[in-house]
Amino acid sequence: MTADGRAARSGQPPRRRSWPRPGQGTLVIPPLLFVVVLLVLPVAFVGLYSVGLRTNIPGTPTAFSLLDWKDFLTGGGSAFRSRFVYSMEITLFVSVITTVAAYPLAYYLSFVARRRRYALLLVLLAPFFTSYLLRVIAWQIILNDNGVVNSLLWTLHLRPHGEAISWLIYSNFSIALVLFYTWIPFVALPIFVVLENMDHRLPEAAADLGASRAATFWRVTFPLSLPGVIAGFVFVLIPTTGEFIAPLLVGGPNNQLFGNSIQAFFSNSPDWNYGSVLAMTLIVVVVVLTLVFGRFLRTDLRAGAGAE
Amino acid sequence: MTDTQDRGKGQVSLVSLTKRFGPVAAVDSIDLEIPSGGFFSLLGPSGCGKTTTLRLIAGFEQPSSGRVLLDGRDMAGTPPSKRPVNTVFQSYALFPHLRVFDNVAFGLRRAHVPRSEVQRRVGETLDLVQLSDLAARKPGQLSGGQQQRVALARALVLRPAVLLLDEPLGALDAKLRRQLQVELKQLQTRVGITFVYVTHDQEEALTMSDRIAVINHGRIEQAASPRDLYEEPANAFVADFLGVSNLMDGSVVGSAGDAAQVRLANGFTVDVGRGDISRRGEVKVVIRPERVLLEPTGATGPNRIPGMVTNVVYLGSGIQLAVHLASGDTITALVPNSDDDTASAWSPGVSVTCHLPANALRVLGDGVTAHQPHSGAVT
Amino acid sequence: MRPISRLGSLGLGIYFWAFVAFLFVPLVVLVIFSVNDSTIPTLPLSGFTTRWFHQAFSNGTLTTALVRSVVIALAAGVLATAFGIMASLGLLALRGRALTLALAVLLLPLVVPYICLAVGLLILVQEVSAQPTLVAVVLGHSVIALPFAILVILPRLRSLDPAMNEAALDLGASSFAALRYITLPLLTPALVSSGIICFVTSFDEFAIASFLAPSGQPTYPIFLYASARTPALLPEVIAIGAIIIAGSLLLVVLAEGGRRWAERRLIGANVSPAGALAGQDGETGAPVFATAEPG
Repeated sequence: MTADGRAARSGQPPRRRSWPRPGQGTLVIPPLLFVVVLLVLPVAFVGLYSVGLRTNIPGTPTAFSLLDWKDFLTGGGSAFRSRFVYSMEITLFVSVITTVAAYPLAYYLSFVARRRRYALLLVLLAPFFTSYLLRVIAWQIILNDNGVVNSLLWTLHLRPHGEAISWLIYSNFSIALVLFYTWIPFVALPIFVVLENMDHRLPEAAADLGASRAATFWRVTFPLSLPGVIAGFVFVLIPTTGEFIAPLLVGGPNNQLFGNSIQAFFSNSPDWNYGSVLAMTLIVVVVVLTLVFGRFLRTDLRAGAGAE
Repeated sequence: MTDTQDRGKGQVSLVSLTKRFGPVAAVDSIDLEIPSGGFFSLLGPSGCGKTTTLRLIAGFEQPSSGRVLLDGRDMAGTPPSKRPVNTVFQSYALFPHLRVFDNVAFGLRRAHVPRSEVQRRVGETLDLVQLSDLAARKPGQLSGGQQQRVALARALVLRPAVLLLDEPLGALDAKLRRQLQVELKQLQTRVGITFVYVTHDQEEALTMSDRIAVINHGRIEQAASPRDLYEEPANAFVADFLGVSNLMDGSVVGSAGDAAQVRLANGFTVDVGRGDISRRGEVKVVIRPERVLLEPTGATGPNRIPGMVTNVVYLGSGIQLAVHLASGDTITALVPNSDDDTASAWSPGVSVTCHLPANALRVLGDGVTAHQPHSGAVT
Repeated sequence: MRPISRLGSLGLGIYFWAFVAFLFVPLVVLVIFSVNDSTIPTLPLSGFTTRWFHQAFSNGTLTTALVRSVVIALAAGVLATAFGIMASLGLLALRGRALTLALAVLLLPLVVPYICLAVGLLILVQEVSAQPTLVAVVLGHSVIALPFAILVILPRLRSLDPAMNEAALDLGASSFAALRYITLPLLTPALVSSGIICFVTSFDEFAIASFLAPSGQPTYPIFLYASARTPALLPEVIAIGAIIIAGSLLLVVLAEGGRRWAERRLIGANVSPAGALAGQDGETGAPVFATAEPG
């Protein structure tokens, strides 16, 4: 860090003392309270609802009950179980292909486009800053039965007029494509950061020492970039578990995700208790994933956030 | 502080001042009087506690025990913003988004000094440090030396009783450093306020200071004028830190009038006329290189030891010789380059007799302080 | 031998630009159909028209929803940034366990799926016997935007020389004055970035808004979603969408330019916002988010 860096340059040992930095530890309390009230508390309530200790239907007796949980996990809630499994499959699949596809983008930015890399990164990220809903709607227009793709094929007489490619929309393909499209710039970012932090002379040195290009990449560059790859994987994995917007717009009845089930229980047929069971499940899954992968992310954040 | 009336004379007293970080005492019960109006240096190696001492005076650290007194007033509980003291930081800590003028005016404005007076005083101070024509620039557009002057001006404009300087010249190149050393000294003489200057560069301290406190492991080894520190070091640490000391181990075997007789290794005995001559037992003896006299080999007389030149360094102004003595010690001798033959007269392998005059030799105590080096270095 | 062959570089370049094209295709599609003279966005194109824009702007529900979203996003942006400043200043002074714990809690919104948080907030509103209001939407959006504010502000704060704050105190400023005259001005680029990111996060947010906004007061995403299922409204939706897309991209470009200008004005550093996002330190250009720092 800057001050310590200057100190080190003038031959002093790193300073371990209490700087009166501009800030007090106590300043962190109002934001913490804010998050506790507006996030921790709601999640706690979801938990309470999931075990029947609270309910939204006035007059219903409230008592601790695991009935809804049992139903979901082992009983009649098989439809929701299979939707959960389906969601996780799609999530995993999308996360993998997105990470794999993002890697060459990050590599290009860091190793090939040296001088303009930050500007090009901005170009890559720019669509990410536009409205998500609009982009999904745009895909709907593109993939629709009379959308851009199909009508283009018709105009070019590559397909009989009026005959649409059925799997383009309201299918696994459309869901996966939209999610892939949405997240890929965001996944490229941590990979890029790690590749940037890496000493670029290392692969050069390996190449100088006679390693083939493939060996240089797989034995030097890729292993060193692994933390970024994992971070990118997590960046797409965790939010996608809760995805529900894309299925609403480009998903068919068989492509609804777990998030849609949760949504349904709180809007159409309000059973907040059962819905909370589903929501709680999703929260648990995400927390577990975060803890498992958290080690890699935490080191970065703490180094950047100033733990010493 | 901005009001000149009650800024005081600028006399600093440190009374049994101690600062601990965890189990480590960065400053270990320091007693020090810093007289007002002079140029006072805190000198010591990295991690010795000199900067911590400075920060205690400024108020950025609170003492674990002991007191900091400014003009007799105990500064306990007084925050830095209220002390009649200002600091020039090692990194200058200039405000990069403000012009030079606004940097210097910052303290005055916080004290709600009227605008016209701000203009006047900032102008005066910028004149003092010769930066008047750079008043509209931003720090990022200045050289290191210029930034240093802005930091000085910013502190001086508030007319503090004491100015604290934390190794302000560390980041500059040697030539600029020497130039600024002279300027700082002149500035201090002109302004007349107490300067407390932290440095690890003994040459710098010797050049600029009226008095120096040598600090090691949080304790004061010796506080004296530059001349006294150099010529009459209290212990081996001080002797060795300021210049070359030619430390030799010996034991006192008797006394002869005003001198102690010290037996060095291999049976050589010398009369030592300075230092703690009443001391007995194991001692260390020092002599400065420029006081070592070189005589032709075979010369006889008291305090003469045969030796052989092992290394010659041509310094331009003199010749520095490493001489291995028959007593087993290797000492450094400095011969001025006083005539055409001097440089060529010396080369490795030349035999010589070293005459160590009794009034140039000095007895020291053991000199090593009781404290063990701490693992956590603090400055 | 270089680690990448000429062919490899070329291949990667083609891959990259093909991807960029892929990323911009939906945006371009929207723009094209926003001026297409047909009620159905399909090929072949039917000629140029601006009538969808006129129609869209005379659609009261749409414009009201837009304004509503803008107001909410402004409020959420300001609130999240304010809390972000506070949190960052606080985190700066923390170490070890306290720091890890505080950071973990403050960044929780990044991890919790928005649908779960949305239903949780709905429950909360119900539990405190309140009615769903737009205020609840603002609060919900502020919570999810807060981590972004911290992630933008904290590194910037961290990179400031702590001696500057000491210098300000030394010169007689109170802690508050030091904050106001030194720290905050130097943070301005980060504050602006934070404001923009939080604004965008709120403006585009659907899940929380859909559960917490009162039924007659849709935000723009809610309106958008409803319209997407109504073919008749689609052209207007596309028209406004095109404007928003163009506006967002313009905002990104302006933010980049504005940031560069601000950095130069302040201290002469030159870091693009993408660079800042990737964690470039404003002064040294070195990465701030260093991975795998020992200890």
